Amino acid sequence: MEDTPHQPIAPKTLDELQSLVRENTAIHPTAAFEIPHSKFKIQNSRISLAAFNNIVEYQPEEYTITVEAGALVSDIQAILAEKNQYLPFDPPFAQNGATIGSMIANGYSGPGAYRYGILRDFILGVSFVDGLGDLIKTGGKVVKNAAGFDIPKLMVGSCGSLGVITEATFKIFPKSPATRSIVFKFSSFSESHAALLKLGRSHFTPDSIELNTGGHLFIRLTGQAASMDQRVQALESLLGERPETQSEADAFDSWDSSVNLRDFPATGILVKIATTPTGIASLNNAIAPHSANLRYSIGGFATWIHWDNDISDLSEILQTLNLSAQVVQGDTPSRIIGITHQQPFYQRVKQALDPEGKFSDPYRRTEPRQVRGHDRFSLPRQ
Amino acid sequence: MTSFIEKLRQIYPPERLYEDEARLIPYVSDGLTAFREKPAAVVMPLNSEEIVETLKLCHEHQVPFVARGSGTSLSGGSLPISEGIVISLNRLNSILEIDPDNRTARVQPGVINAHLSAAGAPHGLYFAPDPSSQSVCTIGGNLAFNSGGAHCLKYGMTSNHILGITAALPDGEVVQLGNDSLENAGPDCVGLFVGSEGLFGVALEIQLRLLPIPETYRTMLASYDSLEAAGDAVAAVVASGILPGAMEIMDKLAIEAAEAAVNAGYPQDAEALLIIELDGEASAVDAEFEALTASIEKTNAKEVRIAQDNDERLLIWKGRKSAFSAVGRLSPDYLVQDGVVPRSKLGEALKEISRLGAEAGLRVANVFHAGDGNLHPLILFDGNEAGALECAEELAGKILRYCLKLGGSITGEHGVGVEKLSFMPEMFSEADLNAFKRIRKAIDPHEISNRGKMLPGKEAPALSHSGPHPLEKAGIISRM
Repeated sequence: MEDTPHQPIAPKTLDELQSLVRENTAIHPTAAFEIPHSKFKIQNSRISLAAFNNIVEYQPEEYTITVEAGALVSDIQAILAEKNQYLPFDPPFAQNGATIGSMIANGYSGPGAYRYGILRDFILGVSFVDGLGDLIKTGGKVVKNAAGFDIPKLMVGSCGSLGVITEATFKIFPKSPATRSIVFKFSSFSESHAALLKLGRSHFTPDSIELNTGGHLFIRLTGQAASMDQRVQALESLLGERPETQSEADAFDSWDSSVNLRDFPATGILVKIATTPTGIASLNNAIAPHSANLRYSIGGFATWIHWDNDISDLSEILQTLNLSAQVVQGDTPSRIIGITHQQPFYQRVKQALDPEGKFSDPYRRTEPRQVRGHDRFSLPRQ
Repeated sequence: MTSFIEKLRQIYPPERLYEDEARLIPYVSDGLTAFREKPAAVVMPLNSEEIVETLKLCHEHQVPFVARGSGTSLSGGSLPISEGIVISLNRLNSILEIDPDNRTARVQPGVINAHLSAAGAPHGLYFAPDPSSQSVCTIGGNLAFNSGGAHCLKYGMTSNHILGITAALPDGEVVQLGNDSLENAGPDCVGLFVGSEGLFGVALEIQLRLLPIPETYRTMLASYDSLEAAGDAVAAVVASGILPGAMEIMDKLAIEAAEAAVNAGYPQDAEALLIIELDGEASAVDAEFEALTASIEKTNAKEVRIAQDNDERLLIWKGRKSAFSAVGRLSPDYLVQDGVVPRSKLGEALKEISRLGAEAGLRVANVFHAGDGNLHPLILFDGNEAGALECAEELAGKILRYCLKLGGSITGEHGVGVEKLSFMPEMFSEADLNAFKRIRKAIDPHEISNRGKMLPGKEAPALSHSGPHPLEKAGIISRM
């Protein structure tokens, strides 16, 4: 098993993984950070969980699925689709090869999270190897469970900094019989933003809402086919604008492009900002002079930004606006930028689960410690 | 302790610092009345500063504290500690902000669950988690125990509706977790804090998600000849792609009790009753209702009724939500558990509960959240009969173990509290529990915050479900 700079070590069993964690000083799981084959690929990964790619348990009638962390999100989506089920939070980058582990560690949720919640609302259980090399199983495999600390949620967005995630259980939903995608094409961002707020104050319950900076408001409705025409008409009368109804093929392409940020440039830094529907107006103004790509997802509660400039400039802008953000792709000194008020609490939890600091800290403005020589690895070499 | 109490007196005037027996009595137990313990004192802070000062004092003197709201915990989550104090949060009951554009609210921990929904109503918003005690329980308690309710199937538990928390950790350090967005940046520390059963300190301010009040509801009652048939109906509905707001089942004994208590108009000849509620936009619900009716028609229901107006709907829910207290009419005492089983194993679990009940010679009423496999067996007994409580507890323990055997959980929404401590090692490994304890110690080095709850340890011997509690044997606590 070689430890070359771009060739991660791939343990084949939990025992091997636990030994690796116990006997090394710096651990960097690729399934936690890296989207394989991604245009945003980063280079400093060390452990691959490629061997952990099984479905552990899937009984469609339970509406839960337990999978290993190295499994591809796209494979899981395909298996669920066969049974007319899905992950309602629309995980981004599935088509780029995102794994279940990277999805959890980066906290990937897409536009569909608007209706029923983001990834953290669908994760029921997590197994992980902590900084001591212990295998910890938390949460459960049933849809409701209040026993023990909710570590599964803590792992969402943890950037692999609290342990190597090996397995997770998710709540899944039945697919609705019908969907309808419509686009309101306003002439400016401020008009589409006003429409978003109006929609937020109504009783309408779209499945997904997205905005681009050009005044387009994308809405996806799900439910029974018989209700669609009426629901679209009701939205039209609420917003006083006739929407464009997308064909099935156009809708698929449009949402796929949106979920996977296909129109973003291939190089640079990708950041997810936790925003609010009202707050995105100020963010839009603040970013405008920097000519960065922006996409307002989850009805304005998440903003994706592609940043080609100094990351500290973006961090300063976010601090001014009292916003926190997470770098999900690209090499930056720290992964959490903008407001970092969670840090003192996080450090206590980090100390408990990773007392020797083997996993890199997303708040620290330092490079993760690198394992230099492969002689420190105890696994048998292949 | 004397110098500690003296310092407390510097923070609180006598009318907000209870030390005499008469004023301590209301705090000796919570919703789990089987256990009682008298705290050394009760304080009633009016603001965050007083809470922080109190925690710093507790930390300095290593005096344990229990922060509580209305004390409706069904797992003994707010049972006091004799050498500790109770921090009563009921006076921190302000709704600080409702933001209709972002559909959020910021509240203090003592706000009553139903009051929040009432405050949201003028804006067309409500707070989705609806535990049966919602007219009295507080948001702080809901947060600490990740409370559920009848509508978890579609909308999730309390945790899914908390966006941000300003909390005082047990040493008095004030931290901010999360934000006012649905999305996070970095680890979901809010998710960890919610449901931590008070072990991480006191939530001072809570940022919540509100949902639009559904334009319409359709509530259906279907009666069946057996619990299994009702369970099969639930599976058929879910398989049809419909996601109802709630799906609840009550058995014959629970129906009788609810009927006697509130006259909900439930069919009296049914062995099982299924309540299904759809909610949402009117046109969407109309179409879903047709699909639901088609599904239910295939399930051999004895009778199907639809609530004709909001009053009928509320009456159906009144019956369901009063079922716990109504069981008091059937028996002088009862125990309630909230184990969870995989949905497809509901029938098997109910059969075993019935067998175990017969074996123990005890009646068991069942009310449960069928959509998410969350059981609520109500074990009826007469506490005046020698050994009856022990017998009921033993049965409850057997039921929880059976839930674990089926791959479920010991608690869906009531929490571990003191009641289920002894089952934690059966659900989690030593390594899992050690990780929990390390986290707890990192946040609360003296283990003063709600000591003796959730994590079995030397400071709180595990409850024994086949005899007196170890603390009872030691004469430290007693049962009503």
